[in-house]
Amino acid sequence: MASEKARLDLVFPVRLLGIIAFVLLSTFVYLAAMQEGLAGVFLLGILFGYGALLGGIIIRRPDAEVLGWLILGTTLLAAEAKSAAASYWLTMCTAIAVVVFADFQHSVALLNPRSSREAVDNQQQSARRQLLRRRASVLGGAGGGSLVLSLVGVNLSPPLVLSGAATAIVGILAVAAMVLVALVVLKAGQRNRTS
Amino acid sequence: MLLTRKLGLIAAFALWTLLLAVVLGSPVLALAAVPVALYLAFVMIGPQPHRNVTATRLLPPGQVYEGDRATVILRVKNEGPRVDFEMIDGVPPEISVSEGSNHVFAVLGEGECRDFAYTFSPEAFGTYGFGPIKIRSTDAASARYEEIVSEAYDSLRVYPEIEYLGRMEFRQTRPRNWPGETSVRRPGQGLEFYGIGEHHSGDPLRRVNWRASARAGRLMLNQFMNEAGGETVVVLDLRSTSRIGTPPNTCADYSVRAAAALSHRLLRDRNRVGLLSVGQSIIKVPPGFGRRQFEKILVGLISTKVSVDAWNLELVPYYLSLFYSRMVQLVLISPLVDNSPMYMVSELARRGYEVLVISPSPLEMDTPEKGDPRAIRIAKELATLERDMKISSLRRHARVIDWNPKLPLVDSFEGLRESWRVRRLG
Repeated sequence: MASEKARLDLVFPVRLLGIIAFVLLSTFVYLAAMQEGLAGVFLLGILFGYGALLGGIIIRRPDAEVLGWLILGTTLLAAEAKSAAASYWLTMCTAIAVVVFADFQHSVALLNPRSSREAVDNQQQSARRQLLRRRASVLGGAGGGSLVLSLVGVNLSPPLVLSGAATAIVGILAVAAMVLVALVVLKAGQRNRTS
Repeated sequence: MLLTRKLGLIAAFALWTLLLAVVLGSPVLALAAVPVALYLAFVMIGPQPHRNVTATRLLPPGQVYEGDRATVILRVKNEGPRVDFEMIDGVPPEISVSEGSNHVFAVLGEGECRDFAYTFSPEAFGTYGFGPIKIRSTDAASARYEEIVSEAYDSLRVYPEIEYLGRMEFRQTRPRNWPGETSVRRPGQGLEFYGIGEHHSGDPLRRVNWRASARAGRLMLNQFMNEAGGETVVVLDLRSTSRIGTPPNTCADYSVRAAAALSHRLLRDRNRVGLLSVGQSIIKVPPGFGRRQFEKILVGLISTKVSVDAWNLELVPYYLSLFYSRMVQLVLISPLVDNSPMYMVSELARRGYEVLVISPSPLEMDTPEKGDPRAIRIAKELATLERDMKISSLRRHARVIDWNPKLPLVDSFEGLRESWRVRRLG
């Protein structure tokens, strides 16, 4: 009984918080998209996000849960970009919030006793809670620091206007970099079975 | 050092945002990639994970029997700077950990050494393989990791539970010359009265029967029966026909437990005991005395695998007659499912061996009952009839114990008391 109680201590307040945040954010995206008249398009992104998140929870793969968050984040950013009230600080805050949530969800899922196929006792649960608190502070610090630096940097930098050719080059570079990252991710995935 | 998949996904998110900004023509969206890229840089700051973490496994000392609680200790030492780590010890799938954990997350300081323990209760005897120990050291943000596989493979022998046979009616019918627990009808150093004989030079005076001496006119003394030990070979039938019931309580499992209990009792009574186990392979333990012999027998018992028959039981009499004299008492433990044990026992009796058959009844095993209940009932009645016929046929050649494995083995020996008495008087 004591073990079960300790397990619930870790699972419900933190894990459920992440899922509730995801649901609220997706509802917000949908409502924002409805106002812009693009609900159909963004609904697809939301559904993909839900699919990845729930799939990750069911098959106990924290990476899939991160993917769910990032899909939702992309959808949210796209909705914001289409919105008339779009501003750079809003998109920056959104992007960093999504990333920090995704990373934290990953840590929670990884350290959650229920995602472990092996036995986990009370002593281990307290060690995991301690580790989770440590990671939360590291991720929060990284998220806050990067956001502040970005906002300061953008405010101080001169306005930048790209030509059509330059935009195309940035696009091509972005695609190439994405392919490269995908390859690295796949390779890391082959070695990495549990995290 | 490797990057976690999570980090790759976040990097892909930054690039995807950039691409989306280009496609949608939104500079605001392009700026959203900036804090994400900075975030990636921030989480990479800090001490790197390293490979200077070593782990060793300490198995429980001494012998472990079925149902015992066994504790395994994982000793981890960090010979580098402070590190977060995750460790999984490979435990066999048959084992379920009851206390502690074989999946550990912890933080180890520089030069720190810590023990992590987990406890389990093996439900079945056998040899369990442990290993390897996988360790993953990560940085504080779990962005980079090092994977270390410690090739620590160990095997733990779990011996069958041994029933204490305190008042077992088992006697060596052919005792040998060494001291034991079986009373033999010849004068010796035992406790049971044998008769009155003449006093010879060197006989102890405290045994003199003064009343008989007065009557006879010369010194007479009380004589006691000799107590001698014998030699027993336990033959275990672990062919595929023994695999009846649900593990860990199949006929084969009960046979192994009976063999262990019987060997324990016989060795304690100063007999020489050997083992011949017929299963996937044939395991032979030559007869011997003492605790070390018992350990050899236990190892032999858990080493035999029940499998498709590689050995024919009908050849065992030829093998036994090559290596053992007829002074050896044989104990066959078999569920008597097919006719091979019948042939084996009759052949051994024909060759002059004394055989005791202990048969764990396959009819008492828990088997799933599927199908027509009436057909099942008829099948059970037929099987009972067939078994009764086999046992009464065997009783012409040997003593037979029809053992219900749900009951203690020692109770089944009660029926033998009369049999020993009749044979002794005869």
